[in-house]
Amino acid sequence: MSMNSSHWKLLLVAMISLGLLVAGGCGPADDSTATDDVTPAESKVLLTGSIGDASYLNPILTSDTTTGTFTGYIFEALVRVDGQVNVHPALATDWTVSDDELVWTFNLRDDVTWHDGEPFTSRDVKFTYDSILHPTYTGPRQGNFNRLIGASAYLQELASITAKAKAEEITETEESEMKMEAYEDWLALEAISTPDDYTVVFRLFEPFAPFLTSSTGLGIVPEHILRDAQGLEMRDHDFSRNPIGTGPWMFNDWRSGEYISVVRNPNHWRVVPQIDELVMKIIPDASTLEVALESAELDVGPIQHESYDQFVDVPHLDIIVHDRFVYTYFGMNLTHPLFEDKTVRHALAHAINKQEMVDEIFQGLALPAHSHGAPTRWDYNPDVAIYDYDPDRARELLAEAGWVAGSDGILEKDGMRFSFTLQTNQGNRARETSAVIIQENLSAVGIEVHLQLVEWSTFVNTVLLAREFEACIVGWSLGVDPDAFSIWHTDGGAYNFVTYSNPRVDELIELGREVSDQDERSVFYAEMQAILAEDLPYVFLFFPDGIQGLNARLRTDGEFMGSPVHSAEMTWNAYEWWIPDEYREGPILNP
Amino acid sequence: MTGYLVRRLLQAIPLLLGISMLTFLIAHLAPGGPTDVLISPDTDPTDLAQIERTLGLDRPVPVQYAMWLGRVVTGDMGRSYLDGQEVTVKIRERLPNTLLLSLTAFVVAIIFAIPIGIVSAVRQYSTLDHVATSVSLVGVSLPNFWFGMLLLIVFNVHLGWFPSHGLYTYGRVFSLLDRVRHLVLPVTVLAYGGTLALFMRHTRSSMLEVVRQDYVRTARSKGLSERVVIYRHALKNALIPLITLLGLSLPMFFSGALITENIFAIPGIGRLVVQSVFTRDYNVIMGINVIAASLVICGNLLADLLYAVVDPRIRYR
Repeated sequence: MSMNSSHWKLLLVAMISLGLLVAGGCGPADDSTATDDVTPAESKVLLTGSIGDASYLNPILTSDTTTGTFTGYIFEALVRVDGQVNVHPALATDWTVSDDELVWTFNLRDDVTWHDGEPFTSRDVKFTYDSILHPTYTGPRQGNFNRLIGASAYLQELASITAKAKAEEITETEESEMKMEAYEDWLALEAISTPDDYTVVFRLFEPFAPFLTSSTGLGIVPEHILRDAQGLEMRDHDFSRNPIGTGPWMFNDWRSGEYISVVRNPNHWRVVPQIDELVMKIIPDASTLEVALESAELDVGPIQHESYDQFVDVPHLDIIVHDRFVYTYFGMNLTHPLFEDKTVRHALAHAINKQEMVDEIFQGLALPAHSHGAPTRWDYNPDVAIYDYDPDRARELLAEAGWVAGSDGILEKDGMRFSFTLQTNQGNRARETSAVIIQENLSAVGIEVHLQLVEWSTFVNTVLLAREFEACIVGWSLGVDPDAFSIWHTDGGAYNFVTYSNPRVDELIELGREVSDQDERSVFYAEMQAILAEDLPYVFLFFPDGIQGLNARLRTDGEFMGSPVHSAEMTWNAYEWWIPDEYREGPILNP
Repeated sequence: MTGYLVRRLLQAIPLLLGISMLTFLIAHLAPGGPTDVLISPDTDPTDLAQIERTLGLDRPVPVQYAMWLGRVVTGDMGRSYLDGQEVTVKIRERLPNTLLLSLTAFVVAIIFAIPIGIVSAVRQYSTLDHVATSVSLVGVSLPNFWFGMLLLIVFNVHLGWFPSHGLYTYGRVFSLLDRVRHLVLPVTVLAYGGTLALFMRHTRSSMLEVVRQDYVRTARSKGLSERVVIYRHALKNALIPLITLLGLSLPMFFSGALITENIFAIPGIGRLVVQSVFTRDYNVIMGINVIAASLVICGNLLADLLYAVVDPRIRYR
């Protein structure tokens, strides 16, 4: 019964060799590109941390934050936006808009080269925008270009061809042929034309003020590389993992789930970074990322609100608090009988303690929200109706609306109990805690709230977009342009999932699209925000600040400033930072 | 034996088909799809429908499955919907990291577990036994995320002995010492927080059973020294049940240790699985599942075969 000892030896040898195989086989040989070519020991490397990884490093195919961080380093657009949301020329030297606001003419720089040395011309610009309207385009940017002449009709035609193919009236080959024909027809309209190598003209069929930042703020991709790759081929092109741009940073290396690295572009037309390489380490656990900052393994990284107190006194870290164009809200399904009455919504706003959320969840590093918008964006209107936390006032308003306490203490009206389910996505601590606070707050005025946490994808598809909810806690991340058609307009579509409709708001949103002058537009948006604060389709909850930790070895000639509009938040202008020679080794523990 | 092996391998084919079909169905039954990551106020869901059309995601699930299967039999697992990387490349990049971590943890666990198991069996109810049993019990009971964070705070932040994340220092030439330093904390979490206690308890109980057997008494009565009795006669037989455990642990080596990988930012399979499920990255979900299922089947087969090698009473026909 006993086993021959040679078997044991065999097993042991097998296990050890397997272990060695694994230890030897992974990593070191593969990342020679990162260690040998680009990172000589004496170079200065900026180490940042991120929780998420990038997707396709092609600015026209993606919209997520981590990818946006890198496409922001590598690519440039016709215009650029600074940390205070001012628009500056970038690849364009200047631009003009015709009096009817329909023709936008951009003059381009003639001294820009791609990272591979090819010159940048208007062909690249036209190619970039034409690609977005290609029938097999796989990115999320079409919405910014459907105001180009013929584009809206063309996109509708694509949809109807798809419908025919789905109904099997035409074959798939016919489907793609017809789509390509429609695309050729649209191209023939010359909505985007290039009179010469350094001029681009866009023609719109109706005025569309957001065009400047939303559309021309999009990174330009090189025609000479992607010329023959449209749709799926562009998506799967090697370019998505080895991008070539015109920006101050050049792509260097990317290992999924591990790091992405860019190096300085010594030939940039505007600003040459003083730091040699910028590496973003992907660290999925926010607490580990903080630990890495604390032990000086990273230079820059986000800090969670609950850790703020603990980090503010760490001597080798500068803590930067910056605003973000993000707000969180308590949304009510306005078609639900409980929330139809505006008085009831006002009562809920009085019953919910926003300040408690700001203090409990964000250690005070957030602002209570009162309407749609962001406090530091130019369209913000501070003079809107504010509903102070006042449970007594809430009870009065509810009584006014006809709600009286039932036998179990829960409010009742016409046989209906004031009881509803509040849903939010699982894993978002701020939203989960807000939900609990709302539950407590509303219970104090006689309203019963059931909480339900749902996984994100399920939450978006079967709860929000399907409008299958009574109340929800979600947030909006706002862009540079204040246009909010998709959120508040009666015809906004899927994202107006609370089903809000107010003819005056519709009108104001439309007016705001028609003129490009900022002062004129801000009048419309100020009124829109005031109406929203009065109508209260949401109880607006808070604007959380962003918090970043910076290692003390970093220097800049200006001041370190987080940006509310750049995906990179802190490092958007790292091309202006520098590291003193004595600290070239790495982040420091003892400044 | 050969006939048995062939039969088992043939049986594996319908099994794999069934598993892949079921996984495919379940993955597609969950609401949403890979285009969810593109949702923003600037993106009209009708545009997203157009993308789904282009990607073939609007077809009936059985059709999609047939297309997927058609590709897989030619060795093409497709690309990730999330970042366009080929699924095989993704798995090939991450599997070595996961194996390095789990096998090292396994070996470390065995190195500690077996001797401690033997000692606590031989000196049953001694102080040593009590200490060993309680210490291992504590290990199993600690939640990995908490234990990992504790180790980070003590050994990274306060003592500065070990790095907090990754498998090597970025930009440094290969150094074995650097690799080992990066492995110490995650391996400790995985070994002490998981397999160590399991193997130690198994060694202990199996040893306790064996030392009461007649042949051990015979060995003792022959006048053999206690050392020879325990290590030559008893131990070998006591380890047989551990082989079952080894076979059953095999899939675990490949499936990765999600929590540990997450805390220490190790790009392994565990993180990939969770990310692909949350982003509905069907091709990656399927790729990992097929590979994992194949490994489970192979692991079970291997364990059965090892039995025959270890225990002459077992014969396969």
